[in-house]
Amino acid sequence: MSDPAREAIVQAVSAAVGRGQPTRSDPDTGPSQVAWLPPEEDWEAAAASLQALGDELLVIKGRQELAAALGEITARHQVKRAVRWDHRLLRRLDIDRLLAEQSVDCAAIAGEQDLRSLAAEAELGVTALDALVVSTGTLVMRGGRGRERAVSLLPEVHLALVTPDRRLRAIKDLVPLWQQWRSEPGGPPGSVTLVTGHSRTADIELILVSGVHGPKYIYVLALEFPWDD
Amino acid sequence: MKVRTDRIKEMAAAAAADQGLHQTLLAAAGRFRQLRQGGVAAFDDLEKARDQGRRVKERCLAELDRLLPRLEKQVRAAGGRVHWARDAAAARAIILGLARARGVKRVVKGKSMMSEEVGLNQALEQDGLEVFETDLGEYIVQLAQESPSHILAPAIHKNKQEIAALFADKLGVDYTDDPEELTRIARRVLRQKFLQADMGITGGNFAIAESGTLALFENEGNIRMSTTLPRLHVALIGIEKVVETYRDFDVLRKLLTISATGQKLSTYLSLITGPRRDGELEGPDEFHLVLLDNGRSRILADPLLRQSLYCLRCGACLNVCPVYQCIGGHSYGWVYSGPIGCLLNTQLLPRGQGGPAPFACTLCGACAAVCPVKIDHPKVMLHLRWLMAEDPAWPLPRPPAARLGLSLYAWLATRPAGFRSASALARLLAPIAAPGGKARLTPPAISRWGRTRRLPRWQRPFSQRWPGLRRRLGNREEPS
Ligand code: SF4
Ligand code: SF4
Repeated sequence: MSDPAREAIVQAVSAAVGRGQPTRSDPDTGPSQVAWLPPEEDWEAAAASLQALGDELLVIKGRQELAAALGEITARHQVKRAVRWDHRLLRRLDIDRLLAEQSVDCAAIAGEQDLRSLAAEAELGVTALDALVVSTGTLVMRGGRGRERAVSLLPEVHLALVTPDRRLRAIKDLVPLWQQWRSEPGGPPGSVTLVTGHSRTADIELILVSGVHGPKYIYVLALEFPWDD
Repeated sequence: MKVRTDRIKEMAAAAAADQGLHQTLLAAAGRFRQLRQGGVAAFDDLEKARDQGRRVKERCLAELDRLLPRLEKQVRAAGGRVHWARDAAAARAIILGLARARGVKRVVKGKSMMSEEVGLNQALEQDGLEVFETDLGEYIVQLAQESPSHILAPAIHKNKQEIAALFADKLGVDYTDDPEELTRIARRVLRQKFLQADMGITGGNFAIAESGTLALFENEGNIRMSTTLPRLHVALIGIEKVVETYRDFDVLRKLLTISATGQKLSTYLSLITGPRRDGELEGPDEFHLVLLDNGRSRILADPLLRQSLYCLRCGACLNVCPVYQCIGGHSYGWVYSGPIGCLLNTQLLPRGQGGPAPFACTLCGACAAVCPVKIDHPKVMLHLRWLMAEDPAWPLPRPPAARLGLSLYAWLATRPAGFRSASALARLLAPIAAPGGKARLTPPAISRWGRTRRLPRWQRPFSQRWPGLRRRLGNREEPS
């Protein structure tokens, strides 16, 4: 800690701010409870937000509908390989089998080598959301083991599953959720990614182009059925 | 980046004469204004949010000497390392040192004004490293060996034909000027670079002290790549980017994206706290945060200038500035451009080097009216002019004739009788010396100044003309 640059900078800053009159933080108002939307609320607002971003939300009412939706999406984008998170929701739904029925090879990421080769070659990445912000269509995903960031980043199509109890009204409702994560042992997750729409750029003559580095297409499947039996 | 701020005049003249560039700049600024306007229209109580944002920045900077050590502690607790750089050379040395010690060969970079500020690319390349800018606009600018011209759209000064020719030449691909196709080519080329790179270098929009979290906004996904795939992640930020809490961050993030592109949120927001954790399969093994001062603590010390550090780099002020729209980003001669560039270049570069940019401003106030953290650019601009005029280190023209004229004016202005007689004399002579308001005989000392200016119309004061005016207006009034 005896870094002379550190000492010099902190000292210069301290002198500059004229230490002596500590300013008070704005009172930390606002709820400390996470304001999850009631599970019975419909998906219209979320669907509209995603549509405005050029993406799609599909309400799925049963396993058959899920299989049909997967069939439709994989056919539309000619998906041959998929990668997924090693996540309880995805295991319970047996996503691998459902995709295999569409002749799509799907596997969870098992090791680092996997990550680089599989995710880089797959056309589809499947994840589950920590939260969906309905007013903006924002997908909220914590990173970590079994929740690799690359799955929602490298493939051209990103498919995200969400359950009705994981919805927030507005981005500001993430504040208590973040505070909750932060107070867990180990502090906040090493990475939290918010995705609002698919990758885009307007760097060439301000013409909007989709899918520059990240996915070009995003589908959110809203699971309106008891998947945990 | 090479400092050419002293050449603003010639560069501005050349840019203003370039019709193509002018059209591009107008179109770009118009488009960004439109985007912002769309976002603002749907925004609930922008004024309140701006006040809040201003307060957050005021408080966090007033507390900066406490927040910096707190940030350091939290980053370390999350397994990251913090480096302190007093100036650009120190920042370069730290990052070069890391690259050497870890045997880095390839570097991918996310868009960062900071790296331009410290001249990082050249330093890394001179050391034999391969460096790839990965934001599409930055990549284009790098291939062309130019520098970015707009905070949000670095390659805005190039049209698609130029980009097509550039790609054909440098990447050996078939000529195409279809933006979709060009983007696909860049995606393919850069995807390989991401997968091969050992080090990712980014800036950072905010650093949250209470948790040691770095917040990064983007629309393309290249920053996510740069912070996920390489085994080292180095983030270089100015010390003014630190906020205290996530709640503070939440106030500023909505202002940033709305002001930049009218988005409620950018496509991606990454909140990064330290490197990969035990048992995880991805993410960098090491996370290094480099905190750069480079003149910022000096700016912080001046109560009026301090607001220059509130800037969120949203670019909104550029898109409303009549001067920027006319002369473009490159004319400012260094990293930052437009209204905020006038303030920052002058203050961040060594005394006497920032060039006369604060004088290249009409004081119209359009910038201050849109700034999400209510920076009063014109006020700071005037203060800088005053500081520069007082300080002989600045190579400003100080013609004796102008000085004499101003002293004379000062003398007259404090003597009402003398002032009245002088104005009467001017009114008498005006039709001869300056027919039609254009000075005919400007003394050589101020002839350059006079060339682009009209003389005021010498008239009797308004208070004396009013009775006559009122009579004339009264005559024209409609009978009621
Ligand atoms: S006040 Fe100056 S810097 Fe601001 S918009 Fe007007 S001309 Fe540009
Ligand atoms: S000075 Fe204000 S308007 Fe300009 S870039 Fe900074 S935050 Fe945006």
